[in-house]
Amino acid sequence: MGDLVLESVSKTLGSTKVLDNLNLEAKDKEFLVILGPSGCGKTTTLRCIAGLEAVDEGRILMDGKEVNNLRAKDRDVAMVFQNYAIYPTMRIKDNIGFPLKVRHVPKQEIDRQVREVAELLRIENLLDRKPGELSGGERQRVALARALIRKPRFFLMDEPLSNLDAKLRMQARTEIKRLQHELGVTTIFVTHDQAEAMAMADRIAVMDKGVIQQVASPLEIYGLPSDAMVAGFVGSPPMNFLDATITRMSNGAIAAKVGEDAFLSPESEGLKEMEGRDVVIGFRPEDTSFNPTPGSSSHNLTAEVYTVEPMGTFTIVTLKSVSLIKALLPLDTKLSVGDKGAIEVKKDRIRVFDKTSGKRIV
Amino acid sequence: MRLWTIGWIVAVAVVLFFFAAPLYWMVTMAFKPEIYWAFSPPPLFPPQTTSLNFYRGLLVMGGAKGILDSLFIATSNSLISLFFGLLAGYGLSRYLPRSKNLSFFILSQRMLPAVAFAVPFYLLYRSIHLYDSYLGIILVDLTFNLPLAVWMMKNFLDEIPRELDESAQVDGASLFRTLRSVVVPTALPGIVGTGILLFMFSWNEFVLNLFLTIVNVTPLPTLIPKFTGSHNILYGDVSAVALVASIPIIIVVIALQKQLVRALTFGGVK
Repeated sequence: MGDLVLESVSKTLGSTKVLDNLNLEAKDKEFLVILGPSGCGKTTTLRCIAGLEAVDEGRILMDGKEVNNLRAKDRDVAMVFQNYAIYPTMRIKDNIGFPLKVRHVPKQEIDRQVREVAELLRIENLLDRKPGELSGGERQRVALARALIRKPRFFLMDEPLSNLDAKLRMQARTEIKRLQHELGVTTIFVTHDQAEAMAMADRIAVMDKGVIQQVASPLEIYGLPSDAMVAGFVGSPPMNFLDATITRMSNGAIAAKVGEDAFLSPESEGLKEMEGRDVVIGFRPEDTSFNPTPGSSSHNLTAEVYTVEPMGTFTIVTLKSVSLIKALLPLDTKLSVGDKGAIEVKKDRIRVFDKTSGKRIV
Repeated sequence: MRLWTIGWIVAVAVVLFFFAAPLYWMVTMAFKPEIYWAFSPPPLFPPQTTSLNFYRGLLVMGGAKGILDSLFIATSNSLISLFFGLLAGYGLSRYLPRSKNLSFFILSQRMLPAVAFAVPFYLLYRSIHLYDSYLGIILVDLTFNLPLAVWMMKNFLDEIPRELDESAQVDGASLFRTLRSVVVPTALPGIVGTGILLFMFSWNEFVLNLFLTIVNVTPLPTLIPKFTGSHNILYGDVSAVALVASIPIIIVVIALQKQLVRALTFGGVK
């Protein structure tokens, strides 16, 4: 079993409240990703779960049992650190076997299990080497092997892919996801890379300033972000945001006024109750298009092409309008800098956020 | 060859001469018969050689005992200083990471001149029967070696990522096991280099040895002045003793020079 619960956990480091009344759950066998910008408290959360930091308030429960007072070595967790923390003076086989050695497992059994885990991660040829002789990717697999050999209740991973190049990162992502699925161990994975989170997670917990903003599936986080922070953090290129006021147009329709005479019309019945309210409109670049020959309507959000960036499979076009807006257009888009036209956004993909709290209204 | 390179070679040769010349003089003097000790001008290569200086210096004047006493005192003191220095340095590094002021306060004890507490120690040792004892000298040498050991070990351990300790803890190791299996092996070059420095300081200590020993314990720094008589100085004998005493030290320093350089440049003594 591997159920993890954090109940009203708070932690202060120095004069900074790093974790503020945090509530989080990870179910048995789940791959939970904690995602957030640098300094949001995600690593501190992981360290509190591991027992490397004591919580100031709240409880941490593993399979229903409070572990606040248990030391790291007694929590049955395995951790992969950002810089792998492989013991530099031990050979790889001794590194991997170390967790079993400290538990006085017989040497023959240690050797057998080390070989088994090394075969699983395809590092059998590295066992007699020292860490200094390994590449970044190899060290990462050694760190994983050392975590796996323990057969722990929980895997804790603190940005283990951040030191790898882009290609290795993709490979490692797939490997970790596959392993976790095969072994069925509850995994808490910390990252600041939203693409990594989206690809690997069963659920994502987005954190900011020590507080969990939203916990949901990747698709829900992406499609229905709970607030502007989540919406802006997840997605690349990030969501476009415009300040707006909910206004009644000359034809009687309710829309969001984003410019002098420019309107966007989110699809929602709820807009009628918000007339006069200052809000923030958000829409994703892939839901945005550019019409060089717009209709005669005077309420279009007009724009001029600012930059064109062909990316291989699509084109990122930056449009200068009431502010700079990004659109993801097909690769064969034939636009040039300076072209004028109007921005069009899929109505059902426009999100409306409260201007003060940032919470999503629509 | 460029002028710059020639200049460097000349500078190195000059420095080498200043360091090597006394050593050369010591070696040749150790083998010179007495009649050549005060020869003017002194011969660069002795026309005759003798082993009488070694016999007299080591066996008659007690030079062999002096070497053994110094070896025992310096080795014991270094090991004790290293042991406690490592533990204290680890505590400062891992549990009081912002303890720069405390670390420096500890190091500042090293700055006190030995003569300042030689007399108090003399009076104390006379009353607790540690005067002229090996234990007494080993303990008193801790007053200057232990602060240095703590400072240097703290700085070496600061260079070792804390994640290594934490990884060992998560893997199930106790604090002692973490130290034994992870921290000490990783810090070993620094530990060895620090040990050599501590050994050298203890080996060369004169003032405290002079005040606190007389007959039973005869470390070399206090023994050598006894080679000066009222009418002459036993140059050959003292050179023979110094030569025998320096051989193991030179061998150890050559063998462990990398660690020594690392200790001097990686730790707190720059």
